[in-house]
Amino acid sequence: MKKHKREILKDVLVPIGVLVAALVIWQTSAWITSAKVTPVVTFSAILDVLKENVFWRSFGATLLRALIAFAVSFVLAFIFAILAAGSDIVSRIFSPVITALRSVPTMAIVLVFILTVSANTTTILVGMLVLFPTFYAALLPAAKGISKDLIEISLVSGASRLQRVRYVYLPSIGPAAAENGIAGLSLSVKLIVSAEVLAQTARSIGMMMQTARAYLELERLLALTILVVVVCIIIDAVGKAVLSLLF
Amino acid sequence: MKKFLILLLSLLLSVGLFACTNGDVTPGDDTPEGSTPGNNEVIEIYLPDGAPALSLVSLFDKTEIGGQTVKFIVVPSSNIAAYLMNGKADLAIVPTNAAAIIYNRDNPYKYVSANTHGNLFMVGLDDADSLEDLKGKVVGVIGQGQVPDLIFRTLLGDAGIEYEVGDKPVDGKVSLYYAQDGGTLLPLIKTGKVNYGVLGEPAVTTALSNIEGSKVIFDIQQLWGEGYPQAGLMAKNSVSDDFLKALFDELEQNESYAEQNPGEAKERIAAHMIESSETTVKVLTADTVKRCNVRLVKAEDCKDDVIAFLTAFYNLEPSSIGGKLPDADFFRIVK
Repeated sequence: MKKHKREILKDVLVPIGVLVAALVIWQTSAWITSAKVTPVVTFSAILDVLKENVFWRSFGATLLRALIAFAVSFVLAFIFAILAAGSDIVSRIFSPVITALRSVPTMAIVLVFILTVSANTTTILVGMLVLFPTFYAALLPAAKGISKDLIEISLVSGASRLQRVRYVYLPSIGPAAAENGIAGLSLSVKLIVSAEVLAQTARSIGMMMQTARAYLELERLLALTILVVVVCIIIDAVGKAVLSLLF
Repeated sequence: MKKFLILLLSLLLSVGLFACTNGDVTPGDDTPEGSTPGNNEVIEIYLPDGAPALSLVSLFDKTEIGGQTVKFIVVPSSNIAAYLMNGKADLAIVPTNAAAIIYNRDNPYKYVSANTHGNLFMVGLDDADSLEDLKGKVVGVIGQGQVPDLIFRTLLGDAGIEYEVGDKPVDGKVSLYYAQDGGTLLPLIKTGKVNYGVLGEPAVTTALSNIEGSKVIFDIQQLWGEGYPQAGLMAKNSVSDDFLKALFDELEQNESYAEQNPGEAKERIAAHMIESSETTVKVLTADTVKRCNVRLVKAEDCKDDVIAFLTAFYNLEPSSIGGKLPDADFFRIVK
């Protein structure tokens, strides 16, 4: 019981200690360099931002774009990984496509997308461009690792495609998918915010950051950044908690 | 238990440190106003890439002005304010609203002159006789929240025309579609994704030469009145009046340099880009330079125009000028 209490204290106090240390270092450097953006000023800016309706509308829109980009990328990566695992030829066809998607410079592709679709859709597509190859690369080894005997048994026993996905593929790929999914969701938020600046998407956290930068509101910019980071940490923590319940 | 107490005490000490925080620390420029920072020191003059760089381009070949060693550095326009916020620039050409923000944030700089007076134009393939004709159309604007956007929205507001952000036309309103820069907006005009675009020179010249059938629909300066103090020169308080007088004298003597030597002006801008980066000024003709509306107007002569300009922005979005109109000390009259 004592050991269990110690573990809980470690899990709570160590992160708090790290946070406090970071704040002390920040405040100390602000004193030394006479910087105006101190922890107190930033915290006050965070409170101001949280009171604004425009923040909550933009935050909701950004989160929705991140979720759409994540969900579509994940489902497509799952399907493609299963297909590639089942056929060497398919895997070889996908390989250069995935490499190309990974290598395309984001700025160039934003310009192409903006000419054909809306700024909103551009942002989501840019997110997918990074997420899809990342998920595919993570899921493919897990898909390839599914026992061939298990697949054969499921075929012989007459399982439908849906039943095979549900009882053979999902349980095998599940843990890898869940772990990458959690990391992918916070990555999606970060990507979408950057893409919003490039695409000048209305009602977005990215544009709020861009405007704060243009108006030299550094404390506001930092406040928005910290809020995005906090959201990603919460997503991460909730995801891990759900994972530990499922697996 | 011991470790827990140590951690708790550290936490309380940190809270105590925060309580003593004073966030209002002005960046250190202890030199009194008007004293030059030592004759051996180089006076660094920063300019944003593009039309504002033309305002001082006639002096780029000089290494000394008024007995002081000078260095001209052209930087990407989105970064210009940073060089004042970190105190690196002794002088800099900045958008006038950015100058107000910098001053309002207690940085040791003042406005000494207005140097560009509007270089924005609306370009498009279709005709329009007035702003009313823009209703039900999509207008592309560069830089959401920045000067072109603020000016255009002020004009729409003054004309009683409603607008909203979007890429689809809306009956009875102007749809504003934002692009990051001229390079992004030009293909949108060309492909018809936007009906019109609000651009600054020299991007306008590029548009007219690359987009077949395109024309200048409105001169934004004429819609505003007779131009506006779009960008000006800010000087650090430590720079002497003597230096500024010498600088103004040199500028007045070489006022028509850029218009008479556009090719050379373009080369000078490219040669002075920071860390040999690429300039966005690709095409420069005498007409382009003329449309950039570059001329020196000292603080004492442009005060009223600057205040009127900043007031218009304040009424639209107070944070665009730093939350308040700057006081009279914003202007530095060079005696």
